[in-house]
Amino acid sequence: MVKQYSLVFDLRRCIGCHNCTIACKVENNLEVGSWIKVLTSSGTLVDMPTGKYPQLSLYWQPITCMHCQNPPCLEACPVEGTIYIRPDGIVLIEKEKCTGCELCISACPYGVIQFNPQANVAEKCSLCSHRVDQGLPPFCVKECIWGAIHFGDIGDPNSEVSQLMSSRDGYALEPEKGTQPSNYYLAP
Amino acid sequence: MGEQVFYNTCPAAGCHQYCALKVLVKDGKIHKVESADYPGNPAARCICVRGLSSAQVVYHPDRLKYPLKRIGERGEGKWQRISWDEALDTIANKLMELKKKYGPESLKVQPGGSSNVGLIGMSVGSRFANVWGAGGAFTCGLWSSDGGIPAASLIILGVGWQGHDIQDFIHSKMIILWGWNPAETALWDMKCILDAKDKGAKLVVIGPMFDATAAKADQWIPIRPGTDAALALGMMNVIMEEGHYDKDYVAKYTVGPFLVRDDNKLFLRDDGKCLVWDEKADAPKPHDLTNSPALLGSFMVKGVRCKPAFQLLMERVSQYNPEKAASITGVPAETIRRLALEYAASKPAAIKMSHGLARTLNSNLGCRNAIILAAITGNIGIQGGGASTTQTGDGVSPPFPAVLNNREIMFPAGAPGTKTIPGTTNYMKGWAAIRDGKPYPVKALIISFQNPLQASGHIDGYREIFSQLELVVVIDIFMTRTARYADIVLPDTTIFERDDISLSGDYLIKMEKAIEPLHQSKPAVEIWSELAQRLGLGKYFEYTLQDYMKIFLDSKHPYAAGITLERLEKEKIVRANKPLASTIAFPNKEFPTPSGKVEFYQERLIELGEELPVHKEQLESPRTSALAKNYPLTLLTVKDRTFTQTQMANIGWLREINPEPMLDINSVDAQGRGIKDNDTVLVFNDRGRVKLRARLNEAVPPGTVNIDHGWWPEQFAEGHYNDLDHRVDDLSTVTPSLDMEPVTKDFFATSPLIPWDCLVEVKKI
Repeated sequence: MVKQYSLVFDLRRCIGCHNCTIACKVENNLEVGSWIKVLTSSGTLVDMPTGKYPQLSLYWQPITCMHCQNPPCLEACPVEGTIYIRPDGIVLIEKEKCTGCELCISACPYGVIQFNPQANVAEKCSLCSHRVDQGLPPFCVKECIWGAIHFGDIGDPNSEVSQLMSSRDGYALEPEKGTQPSNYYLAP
Repeated sequence: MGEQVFYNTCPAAGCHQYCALKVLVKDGKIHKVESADYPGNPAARCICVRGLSSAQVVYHPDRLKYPLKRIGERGEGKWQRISWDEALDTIANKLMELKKKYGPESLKVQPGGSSNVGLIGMSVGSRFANVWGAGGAFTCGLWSSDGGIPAASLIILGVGWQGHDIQDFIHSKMIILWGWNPAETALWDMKCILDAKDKGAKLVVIGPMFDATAAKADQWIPIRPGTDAALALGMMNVIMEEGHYDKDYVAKYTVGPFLVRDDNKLFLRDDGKCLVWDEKADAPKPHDLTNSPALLGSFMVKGVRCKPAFQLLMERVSQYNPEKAASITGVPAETIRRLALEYAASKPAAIKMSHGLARTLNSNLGCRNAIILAAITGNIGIQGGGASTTQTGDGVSPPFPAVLNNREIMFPAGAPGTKTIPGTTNYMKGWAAIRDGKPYPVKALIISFQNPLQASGHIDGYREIFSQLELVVVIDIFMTRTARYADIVLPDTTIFERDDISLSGDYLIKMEKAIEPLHQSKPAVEIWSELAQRLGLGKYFEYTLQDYMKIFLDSKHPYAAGITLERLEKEKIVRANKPLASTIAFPNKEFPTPSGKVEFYQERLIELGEELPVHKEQLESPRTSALAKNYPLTLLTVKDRTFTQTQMANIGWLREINPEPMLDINSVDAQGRGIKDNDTVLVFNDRGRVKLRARLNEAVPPGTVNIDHGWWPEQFAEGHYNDLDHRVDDLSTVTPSLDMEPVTKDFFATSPLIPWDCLVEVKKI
């Protein structure tokens, strides 16, 4: 199998703490916003449950760039070479080449690319490729103390992420879009 | 210059976890804060959004930058910049004047609260107070405003803080979190809970609000606020009437067999020894001379009708069948029944209580009843069990911090020591004594890194108390609400700008100065020392910071053996000489109570009608209070994941998660008042008002509203939620059972503040 780095989110262990969103700001120097978000299952405000008191439910779903194997952002980008896939499957935006046209932002079905008005560029999760290159996990993975974010090579059937996928019946978001996302979820 | 790495502790450590942090500095500026590894214990590593954001505290534009002198009225916000010399001279001159007029005890010092994590900094503040001969409530330092749960533990089990290590939950079949939201407020604990849950423990969460912890529970028990005592009684009813209690445990380790006299409700004694009814001999015997004591029945002993305490407990719980408990708590009777049976069948089962259970008048009954519930099922003192407080410690041996040598720093030889105001056995009485100036006047207050005016209580209380004070000094890093009422405000450093030592559970952490102090800020240790020089007390302040740290570590206790400053400076994080194994509370089932047993029957509380478990409504109960006619809603002020006490409210990154104060109101209550999402509303009662926007939120029950605790007054359109609350000097908020021994003799166990005992009304404006 081809090497493909991936994040597997265990929603059973996610407590909605937002460590990942703040860790992303710390690591990537993001004054405003974050490349990873924590969605609330009700789809409304943060931590708002679904239902009527006391019949309530709530879980959280972190969401970030899916590092798709067939990324629509790459397809939408008019400047060749701006968005590219590394041999390890990480999808990156080359800031220097980005013209800030925002076409990638509207092409992404997951809504995880954000526009940086100061630099006039599109930005998104790089899977902390600079850390990965040093043998370190992405920073959100390091600071998810609860073990809700797993990082590894989903192409390797023996990796922790692949094992989790098969034992917990992991699923991708919106697979019907044909994007072939690399991130997966384990049900709450 | 390359990157430098420094170690420290989370500055927002109001959760008492004191997570170890790595602080990365480039070009003299902190550019990253991350979690640090604990040597030999990777599972201990932790951080949360507060720690991750902590560099934002250091570089915040609103930091106090130089000493300030008040030029308007207290609280008016008019200040003049002054020099350190002028500030310290002014304070010193005033203190000398007050000393001459009223004695040194007219100064009260509050050197750092739970969040001022540097132990040397805090200890040197106490040193100053002791050298000066300051006065005040309790010791010179901490006033516990949250001692309700330790008080319950002290009464029933004989010791206030009995932690029952959270890591031991891995052995539990069931975990009941009672009045606790660790998913937002104690994150490392939550990890241990998730581990136990993944291993198969059933997680039950009891509380009125559907919070992040409730969302992770296998079962959430929504309960009417302040009625936990009745829920525990209902569960005991099912367990006892259906015979699921642990007979051997009750007989051996509780006062269950002790005979209680019908005539005066006291234990029946012979020659000072409590008697039980020996079933084999069919006669009374001293409790320690039989293995077959009766737990049930009624006996005549020398003409006195007596019953075992357990029989009385049985009679008491018979008044609280599940239907009765349901009518009080709002928890369906069938739910109570099933929970009780499941708890009794799931041994070992753990109960962990936190302050959510203890913030109303009479709520101590709930804490006590939860402990009794655990005792009658034999769950106290066993692996995977317990009915514990949220602090660590096994209840028998001293916790690690207590064995370190900070006393030598705090109480130097030859110093006069502080003079405690007699009778100030809790927060409310302490403030009331200062207000009344009795039995001696307190005229000056120096507060270092505490924020009582924002943390709790109606502002009018403080206004009246402060009107007695001729000098108020606040040492802090921001202009808090407390600082606004000071005469002189001094800028402290953040913990990244000074050296110190901190404790994180069983680990010592070297707090390393990562950057030079910004602006004109000064570490509190230097402030205390420079003030002392001006007061002619310089001889007590000749030590360097290094000297203090050496003294601190020079403990003769085996836990601290071999831990020198040199080693700490080299290794940064050092574990106490203790095995990694998790400790459980009361492993030998020896309880430091007068009887040595679990005292569910309390001779001391007969006059209050609390000798046996009972439910009493809170002060401002929507069912029994006359106020409920005009103010039908119970106000909660719960803690959210982005605050630590009153810290971090101004941190931009965290405000992206929780941007502004909102009133959480159930749709039922909102519709009745014509309130829609985002409407501006007024929350009010006879004491005060606060204006903010409303958020229709099903997480709060009908009849209850919530405002997250921690917001600052300037973040509301008008007022502050604390001004709906009782005054801190309001003695009607003292729980009677906690205003007597043994509670009044204990440092940590006190009658707590009751901020959740508060009725309000809400209207759209």
